[in-house]
Amino acid sequence: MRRVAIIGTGQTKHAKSHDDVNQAELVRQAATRALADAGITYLDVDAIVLSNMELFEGRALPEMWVGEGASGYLKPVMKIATGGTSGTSACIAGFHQCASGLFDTVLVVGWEKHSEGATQTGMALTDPLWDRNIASGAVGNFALSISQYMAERGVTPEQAAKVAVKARRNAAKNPHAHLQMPDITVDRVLSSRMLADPVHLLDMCPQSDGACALVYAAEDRAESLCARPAWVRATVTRHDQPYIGDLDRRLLTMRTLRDAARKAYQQVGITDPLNQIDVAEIYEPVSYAELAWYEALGLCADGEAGKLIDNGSTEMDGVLPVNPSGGVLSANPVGASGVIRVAEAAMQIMVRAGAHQVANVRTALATGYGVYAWSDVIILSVDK
Amino acid sequence: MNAHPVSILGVGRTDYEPQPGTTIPELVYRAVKAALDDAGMTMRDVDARVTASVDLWDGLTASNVMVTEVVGAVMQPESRVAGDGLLAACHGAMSIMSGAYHTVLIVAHCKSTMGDRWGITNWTFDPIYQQPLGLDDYYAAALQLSALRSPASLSPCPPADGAAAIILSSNPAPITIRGMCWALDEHYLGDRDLTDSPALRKAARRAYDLAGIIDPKHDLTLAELSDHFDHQRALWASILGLDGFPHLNASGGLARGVPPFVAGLDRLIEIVLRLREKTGTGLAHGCWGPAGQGQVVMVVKQ
Repeated sequence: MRRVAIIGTGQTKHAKSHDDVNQAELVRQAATRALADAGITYLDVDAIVLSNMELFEGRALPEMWVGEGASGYLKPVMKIATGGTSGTSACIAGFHQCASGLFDTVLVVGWEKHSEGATQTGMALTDPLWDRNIASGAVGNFALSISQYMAERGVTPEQAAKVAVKARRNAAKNPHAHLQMPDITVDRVLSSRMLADPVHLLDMCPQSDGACALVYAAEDRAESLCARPAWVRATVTRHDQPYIGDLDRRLLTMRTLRDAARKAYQQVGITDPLNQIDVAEIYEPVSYAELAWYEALGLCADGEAGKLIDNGSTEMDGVLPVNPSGGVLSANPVGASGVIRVAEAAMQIMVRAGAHQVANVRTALATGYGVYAWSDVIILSVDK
Repeated sequence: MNAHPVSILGVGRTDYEPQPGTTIPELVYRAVKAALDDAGMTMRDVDARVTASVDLWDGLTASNVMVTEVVGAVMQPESRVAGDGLLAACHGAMSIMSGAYHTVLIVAHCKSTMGDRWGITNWTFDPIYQQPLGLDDYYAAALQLSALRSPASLSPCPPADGAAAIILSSNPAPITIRGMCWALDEHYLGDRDLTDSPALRKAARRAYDLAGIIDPKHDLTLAELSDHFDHQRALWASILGLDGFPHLNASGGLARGVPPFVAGLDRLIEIVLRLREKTGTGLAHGCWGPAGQGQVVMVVKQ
């Protein structure tokens, strides 16, 4: 396989509403910043992969209008859409495009402008025969799975609240993050409005407007353009049953993430992920999910996730900082969120993360999550 | 693209017609089963899949969720292109060329008769300048016909529902992909010369270069173009350097009714079926969006 690295990233400020720009302009902001970060211009871009969940804005083929914002005029533009994993799937597609040898430089841009649509309505557009009458959006279905997870693994609301606090305090150092809550406390999370027991408002991710872009370059180009490129070492995708009732103890097993991570670790030679990975940017739409993902990712044994957050292992100064950016809990423009995970992981390797930079990052993990239990796992490294 | 050519092992498709009594997963199952049978394979032989569908046509958010089981994606890799199925084939081929997978199933599906066929396409146009004018793909094609100063009346292909599937592989086989590319044109109709398609020109040039095609009329044996409207067949042919080419749309093209987004992949299936009968080099073309704003070309050889 031809070696490929990320050599630049760019993001907008993620916010509740970006009524200062339209979708194409939002995409242009992120794309322009990524190209500048990579030290190239749009003329150097051979192909573009876009990520967006168009029914959240109620659009059809949005790349037709928005593609120009990513410099797509007369260029190969492909839009990927797989639900919450759209961003990571687009990153994997862009990697394959570059690794295939057809293109030397590939730009990936994900965006969402939730303020222009009705996200809950979009999420209710599921199977019309079985699912639609009971479709309750992300909060409701997570509440069900979380109750089961708490009952079997003994995770407490306080431990979940600690995840929410960690995310928002990290986000306070990330100028792109939507939520800025440096003074957040566990008590404040637990006393926030109950959305669906046991999920409080501050346990949940926001809906954001935002875009994120990254630039892939093939081996020679990457090395000539970037002093410390983030090499792509593993990309694994696993999808699962479309009906939540068919998933066996969804958060307890999270078998897609478990299997994808094992395969990715194997490809890179990771046997002790907690100690061998230096930073992780994982797609946690709700505080409890991050705890479940710790177990699925093998960062701890099943039932030990609460301990991992209690002892600070995943804090900025812990053994494996998880989501220095503030994660999805602090910004969630869905089509961009997966790209943000990969971009943030790359920034950590390139030492371009600014105030939320982790020291000495050589190996970084990024994950995508979507639908009820779909997963992407991507591992980046300072080593080819 | 000659070092490790990607081969086409199997093709399958449903009937194309209004199918109100058949669900999307059932249509997809039929196409996938036909492609696997054609290749003499089972789902266990497939490493990954790329599907193509567009949410607003299906009335579903992430419409690939519905087909997860029937494309064999449970605990397996799947990606999904929101666009024409021939683009999904390009995505799958690149995944194989990258070394990530050996065998990839490509599926395109659309039940276009469920919705307002032209009304939906109004939502493709930018919401500031063009959408409020009431433009849709029908009007865009009418403007194109008018720009061509054609005396013919506007003739869209009949609406249909259906699915198509192909199996791509790094395993050696007689029919291989030799070139491919795609491109987007300008979005604002007023900025486009609708009698030309720089996007198709650009995509074709790259695909021809990769396939070593210098004189398309001489080097190609047959071509299947996506003539969503009757007048587009001659237009696309001329841009592809295939003016007066005798072996154009031997299948009858889209006039027999092929669903949108399935159309490009179905063109490739038509090429494969003909190359199995008689060796040669075929071109499959797909397009989507207003007056063919998105263009994709693939060259295959037996």
